[in-house]
Amino acid sequence: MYRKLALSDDILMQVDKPARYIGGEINSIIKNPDEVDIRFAMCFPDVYEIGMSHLGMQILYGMFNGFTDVWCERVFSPWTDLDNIMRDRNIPLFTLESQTPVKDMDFLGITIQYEMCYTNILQVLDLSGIPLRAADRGKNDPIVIGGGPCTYNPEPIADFFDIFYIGEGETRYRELLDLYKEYKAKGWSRYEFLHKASMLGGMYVPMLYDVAYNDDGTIASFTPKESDVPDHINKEIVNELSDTYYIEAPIVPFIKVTQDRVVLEIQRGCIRGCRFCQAGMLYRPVRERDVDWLKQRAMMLLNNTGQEEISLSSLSSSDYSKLEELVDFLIEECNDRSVNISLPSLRIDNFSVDAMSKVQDVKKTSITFAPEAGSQHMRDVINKGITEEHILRGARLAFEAGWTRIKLYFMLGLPGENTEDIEQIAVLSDKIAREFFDAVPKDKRVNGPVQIVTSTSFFVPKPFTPFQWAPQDTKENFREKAYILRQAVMAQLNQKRIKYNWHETDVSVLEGILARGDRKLSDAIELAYKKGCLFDAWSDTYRDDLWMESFAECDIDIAFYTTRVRDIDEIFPWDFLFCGVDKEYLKKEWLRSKEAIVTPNCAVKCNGCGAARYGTGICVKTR
Amino acid sequence: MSDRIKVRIKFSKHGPVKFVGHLDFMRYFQKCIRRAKIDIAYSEGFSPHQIMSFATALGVGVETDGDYLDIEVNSLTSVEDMMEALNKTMAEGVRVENVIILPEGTPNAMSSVAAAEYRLIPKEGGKYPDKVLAAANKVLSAESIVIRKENKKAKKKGRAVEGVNDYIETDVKDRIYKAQISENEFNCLVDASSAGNVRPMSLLELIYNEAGVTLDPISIQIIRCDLYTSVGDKLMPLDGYGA
Repeated sequence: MYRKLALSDDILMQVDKPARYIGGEINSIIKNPDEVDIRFAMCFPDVYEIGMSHLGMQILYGMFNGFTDVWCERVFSPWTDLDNIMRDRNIPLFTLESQTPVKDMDFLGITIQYEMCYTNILQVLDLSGIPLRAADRGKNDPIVIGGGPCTYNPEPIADFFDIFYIGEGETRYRELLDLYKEYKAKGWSRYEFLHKASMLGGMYVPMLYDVAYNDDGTIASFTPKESDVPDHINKEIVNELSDTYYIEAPIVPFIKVTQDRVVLEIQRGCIRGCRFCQAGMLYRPVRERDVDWLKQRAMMLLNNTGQEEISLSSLSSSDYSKLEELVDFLIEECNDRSVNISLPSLRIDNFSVDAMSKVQDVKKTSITFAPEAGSQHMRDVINKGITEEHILRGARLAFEAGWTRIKLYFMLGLPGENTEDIEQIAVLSDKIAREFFDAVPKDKRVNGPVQIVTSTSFFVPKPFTPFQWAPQDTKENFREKAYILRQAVMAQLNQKRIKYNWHETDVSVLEGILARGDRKLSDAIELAYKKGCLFDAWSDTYRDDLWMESFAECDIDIAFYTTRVRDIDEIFPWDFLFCGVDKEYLKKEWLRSKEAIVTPNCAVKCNGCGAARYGTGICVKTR
Repeated sequence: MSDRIKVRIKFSKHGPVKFVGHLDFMRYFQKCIRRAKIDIAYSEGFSPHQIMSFATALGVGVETDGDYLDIEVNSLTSVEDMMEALNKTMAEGVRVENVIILPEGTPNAMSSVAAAEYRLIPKEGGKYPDKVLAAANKVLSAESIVIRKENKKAKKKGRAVEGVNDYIETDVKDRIYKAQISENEFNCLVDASSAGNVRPMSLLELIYNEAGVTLDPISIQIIRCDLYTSVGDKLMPLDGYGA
């Protein structure tokens, strides 16, 4: 017979996209519950289509299910329609594979990819019937463990988690699972288990630490409650990427998901060292996967999924040393199989324009540039490492190859930005339009005139970046800057060819509060959730009014987290974590940014960031 | 082009996968074809797509014992091999029931559908009430069977349009080829052509109305048994060629 679903037909027939909740997709794993020791629920706290597009979850799902004593199943946030029904009818949240209540699992692992999912984490706990606060959980509750980029400042949500796993998931889980089995066998208390887990390495158990504050609200001290609990937690990383676990048969969703393709991770980390970029610091050192391994894996993934598209994944694919060889191979193989290739995050040069014109229809697609800042001064401040000449040359190559649509991404509110820097975004957009008219003679403009879409997001300073000391702009500043830029675009010669879009200001402020927040925020987050905040990453469901009310009711001073000027020696809430890059290095980079001094990338020169102590990747390669 | 072989695939779909809608199910099948390494023909261009067409859409929540799709392949070893390769890569609840090579000149599945047979079964072991059974015999043996359908033209932006009837009434008596009911199931063979399609649930609603009983459509599982094409004045399953 077929699996029995947790939701009745009558519910599934009234909710949007019922296939989100049924499981049973190709390559999803069914095991016999009697033959495993550990039931692990892996959760992405957003809607199915977003969660199923996430590579890391697929990797860990495959890794866990490779252990014969573990059954890993998936959980996502029910969309608001189902959320209401589940509350009304007291239906507990369930896993997709076996449709079992999450509360019956041994672990609930939550991947935390962005700050705007924090209320969804509470939704998942709440609908599962698990106490929201770790302190209120008992022996029968699953161990709630968080992972992903937001765990590099887990403090705003520290009270809701038993453990945070700091770093790449491939390394320590086996030890944690074995410890869990011992805990069950020996009848330890939950506290004893968590205490022992904190000593495994890479495991942060928030309840084992005390935070003391100064009168001004900054942190005075952060100390373990027990002498054998580490006072610093080091990031876990995989040393040799081609030897570690990688997916062989990712799950193939029934419904169309955001990333509806095979994703091939070619490397981790980034050599660039852009000063605003958290990923560029967190995932150091750069480690490449072997090109032959990737070729073989690409074919295996296509065979096992039947997907019609493959995409390369990395922070900066152009920096992968064997990119040409890999892309040439994929173009040839995929052409034979009628598989599409998508090549994101490529620097625009002769090779990439040639490769992209082979795999994309120039008439229907656009080319993307992310100069991030309009003026050379600001690009030097953020250490972007490209010049206007690079950008214009890249644009010209794209125009000559037949593209007419260009997307440009910039940030507003970068440290030290002035009006001229903002206006330069419009000037650069205009120069690119001029490049088109110069590069493509009138009789060759068969694909229509150039169309430039210039988009700006608002800069949010993130932990473990050189800009972690930077004050964030206020909402009013943001709006004013967007207005200045809009006026500047309208003043350009080719203004009709330039479309300007800007990001919402409210969400950027909230993201700023949560990104550099501390434990004092947990009450406000819980209150916002209880007032009805959910799916904050979705503009239709985001409720800024409820968030602001919650901060006010909890006496949270927003400016303390966002616009405040931080002292260079301040203890940050995340300082007890070690991500591989030293605080001293970040400090040096912050000071260099103020002088607009460019720091060369890791491929050119080692700048001594600290990641070399992992003894792997580019740090041990001869340059 | 003319070297291509037209193949018809009959499949069944039961269980949780009934909640996968038609467009998603088409995408599902395209991926199955790739995994099974079927040498399917593709269209030209930057985003080539498989030459594939389904006979008809299956509604969300409806199960089937016999739905069909046509594909064109460049080569195949045997229909048995193709069926086996596909069945190795099906999701829970989906089975390929038959694969046939279509004779030259066979119209495609979509334009061939003339009739469909259904079973409507009360869920979770439920039974049709006696009142409904009695009403069914009365309705089905009457001179005419009139189905009332909401007239989509009658309402614009939620407001009634003057001079247009709210409902359209159609006598479907001669489009019902077979209909019988027992306490366990309502079975019917009805017109499923694009011009004269009869919804089995509309028939059941009519019967419930006659019986004065409220029908909760969710409480009934619809299963499509098979799809038929007309050959002369006879109906033949869509995979009946050469049989």
